[in-house]
Amino acid sequence: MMRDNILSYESLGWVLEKSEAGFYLLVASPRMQAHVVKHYLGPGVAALDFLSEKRQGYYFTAVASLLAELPPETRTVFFLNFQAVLFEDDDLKRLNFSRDMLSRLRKNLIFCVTPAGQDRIIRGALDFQSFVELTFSFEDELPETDTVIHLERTRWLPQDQSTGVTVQIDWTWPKARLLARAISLNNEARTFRSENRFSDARELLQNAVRIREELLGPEHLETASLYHNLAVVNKFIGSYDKALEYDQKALHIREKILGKDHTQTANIYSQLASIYKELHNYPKALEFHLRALECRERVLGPSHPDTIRSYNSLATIYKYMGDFNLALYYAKLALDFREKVLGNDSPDTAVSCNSLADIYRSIYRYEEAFKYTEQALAINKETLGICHPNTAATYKNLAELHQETGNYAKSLECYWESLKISEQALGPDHPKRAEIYFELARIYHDITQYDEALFCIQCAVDIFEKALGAEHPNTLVAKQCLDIIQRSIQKTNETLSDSQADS
Amino acid sequence: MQYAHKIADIINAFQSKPLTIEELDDFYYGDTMPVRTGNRDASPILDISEACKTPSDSNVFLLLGHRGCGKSTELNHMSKHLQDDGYPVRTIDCAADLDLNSPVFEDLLILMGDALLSIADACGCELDPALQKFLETYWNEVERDWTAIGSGTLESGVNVEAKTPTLLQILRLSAAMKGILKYNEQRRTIYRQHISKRLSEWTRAIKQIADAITEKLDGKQPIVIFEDLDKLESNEAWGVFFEHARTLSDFSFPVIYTFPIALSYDARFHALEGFFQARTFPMIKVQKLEGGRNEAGFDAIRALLRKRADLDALFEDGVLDRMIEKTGGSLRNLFDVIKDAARLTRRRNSTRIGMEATDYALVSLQSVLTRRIEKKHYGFLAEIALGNREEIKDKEMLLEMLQGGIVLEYNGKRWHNVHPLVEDFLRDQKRLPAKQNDDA
Repeated sequence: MMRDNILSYESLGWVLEKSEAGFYLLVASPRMQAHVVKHYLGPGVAALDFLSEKRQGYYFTAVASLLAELPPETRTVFFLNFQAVLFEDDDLKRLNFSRDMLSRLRKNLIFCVTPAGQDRIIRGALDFQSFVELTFSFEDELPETDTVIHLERTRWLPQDQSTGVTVQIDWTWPKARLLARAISLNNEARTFRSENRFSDARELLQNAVRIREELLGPEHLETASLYHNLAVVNKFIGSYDKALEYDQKALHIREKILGKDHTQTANIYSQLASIYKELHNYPKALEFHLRALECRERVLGPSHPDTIRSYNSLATIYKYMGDFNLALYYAKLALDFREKVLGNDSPDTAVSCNSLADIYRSIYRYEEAFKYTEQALAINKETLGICHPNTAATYKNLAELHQETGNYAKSLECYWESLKISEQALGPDHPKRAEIYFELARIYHDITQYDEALFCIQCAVDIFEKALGAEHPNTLVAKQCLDIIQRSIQKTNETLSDSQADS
Repeated sequence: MQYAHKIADIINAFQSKPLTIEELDDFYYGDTMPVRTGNRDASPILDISEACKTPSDSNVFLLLGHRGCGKSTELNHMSKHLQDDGYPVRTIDCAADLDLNSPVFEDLLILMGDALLSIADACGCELDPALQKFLETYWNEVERDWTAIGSGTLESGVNVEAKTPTLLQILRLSAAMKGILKYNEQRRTIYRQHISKRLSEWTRAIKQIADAITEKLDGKQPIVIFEDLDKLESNEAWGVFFEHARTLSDFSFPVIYTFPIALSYDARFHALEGFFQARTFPMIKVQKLEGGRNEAGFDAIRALLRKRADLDALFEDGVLDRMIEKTGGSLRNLFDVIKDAARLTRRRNSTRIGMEATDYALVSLQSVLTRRIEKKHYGFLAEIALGNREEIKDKEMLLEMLQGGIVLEYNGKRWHNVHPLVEDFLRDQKRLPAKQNDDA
């Protein structure tokens, strides 16, 4: 879908200036709807907000009675947050049936909906949709005034818990003993990695690499394994360039000795793809994922867990590249195989459900997004339990879906649930909890519950500072939002005291 | 509505709604039947129109047609001509007067009675006093039933003590009844039960009213059109039409019910054809069954558009043809593309719609259409696109695709094709071979 705000603004102006009557669709987030519409209010133009009306479902009589209250010279009416009355299938049916009656009102009726709302109309209210003259789509613009902004989607890296390690190698030892030392260093490095002692692990591995390079040569398969392990550790630390360098060395050796059609070579392809993904080099990531897939399909077959993992990875990359059809194709393939091979009660199946839901969400197909997220949640609760990070994450996904589709009450409920679980699963000071507090603050601010918003944003700031540091972008954003919320509270208090003084 | 001389006018020239009676003189183009039916002399609307002027025992029609094919515009045009010839026509907007979520056939009979009463009033027709008394008594009995269950009275302004109520009073009663029919679920049930129990009396009364009108107008029968019934869902439509076909068709004056075209694919439809005369209003054919353009269809659409806009001033060469080709004969789709292309053209301060703006608009429309399909539909659609256009076995999927505008249906000989934009999409998905000499 093409989104060009300037074109949409100009088209809206055209309609207001020239159109005699008709239905129009304005697709934007609730915040953006309000932002756009306020530019056009004036003589002959009115706005009705269905969120503030708190109506249950769509009824023509309700709409007609709202319109009857407007001045007769009103030619154009914006129905803000119209998606709020389109939750049930019956709402869409009634919307269809009332199409001609709405048309006979002979006004410009601009129905403002979120992308989810538009999707529901396109797929479930065909008669109504057929009368839509034009659709205006607006991307969220950066705010000029006091509106809460978004967290950066920076990757949070686990904190390095290294304590420092010294490795001593006695090069006078016999070859066999030195090689055994390399193996033990590798094993110890693995243990350190699991304890988040990444720098320590790296130190051990570098020494192990030196031993093998010295004794076996830089082009030996066993040396390649250590290069690969070093790449993994560097990736964990966020040293992506180093990670690339080591994995490319490992790849060169494995391709040369094992060939391209070996699962160990495929593992490197996969790892390289994931590094390129972290570097946002999606074409390169795609190239390597496809190589991994090709090899795994040939050697392991389509239903091997590693092959399925490749399907899932490809789905993610295609999603990032905006090719949603292929993303869906691979995500569904992964899910199909996981359901067949692992069954409906495997955490990996839940991962696939979440991936699929995420893609559907990207293309605003919220019905499917909800379906798969709820499926993932059911599996996670059943298999991992209520106190697992994956369960918390899935609740968060569900909360985000409800937030995007305007169901703030349900969104709040799911965020609080996610928060509760993540406290046990991740600890009270995990930055993921700060993210949830942040989103809660956003919602509370949007629905003008400023006290709750203040509490939540303060929690977010505290955790971000503790976990990521005072200068981390997310900490700074959270502080900015705290500022905005405090100003909103101040403004409200000023307005209240002014009106008290007047009365 | 306004004729478009320049780009800015396009927003009003290509509105999605049907032409009203007032707009017909300026904007209606009627010579599309040959390219709809494939036969110069075949016209479903003309059939209905002529039948309306010819007394007969079987003048009750089901009118079918896909969304946006021009059905309502043609009905309005027919109504206008019949009225010009002195025939009284009433169009009942069922969506306005009924709760279409739960319609029953009794509702249609109530509305029919109301329509005929208003015709009688309009043409100064005197109803037999016995008939008027019957009408007043009939509804007062409903009121008594309602009151008996302790639920208030009908506020209609009708003097229930009057010996012979006037037609006006009965009309007011009828109008009040319509309101209840639409909004009051409890009372609606009572009314329906009453009609059900005394159905033959009510239908007899309807016929008597119609006869009185016909006599008053020297043999010109009243004509009643029920709009919006084509929006009913399948099970509701069957509940109304199939179960009560005899009652709904047992009128000697012309009645036209719009009908969901999806149901014509159901085996039960043949049974309905024993009671009603079914007429399908087809889409304009812009392609031939064997493939290739139907130039006559293109010409007809261009002529239709010429009634609304200065085509030479507003469209660059080749643009209209591309729009017509890619919208497959769906006029509403075509109008949407024209408006969408116009807005981009406006932004560029251009005076004529060019190919780039056209492609932009086509992509937007394609995006809307393809949201209605999933991977499970691809094989089915590809099969149609590759040539299986007549004998389509999976009726359920065909219906779903027809209702979504993904598959288009053409007539003469009933056949189907995938919407051209969806066909392009399938080609992009490698579900169809690349088109030779593709100009994409």
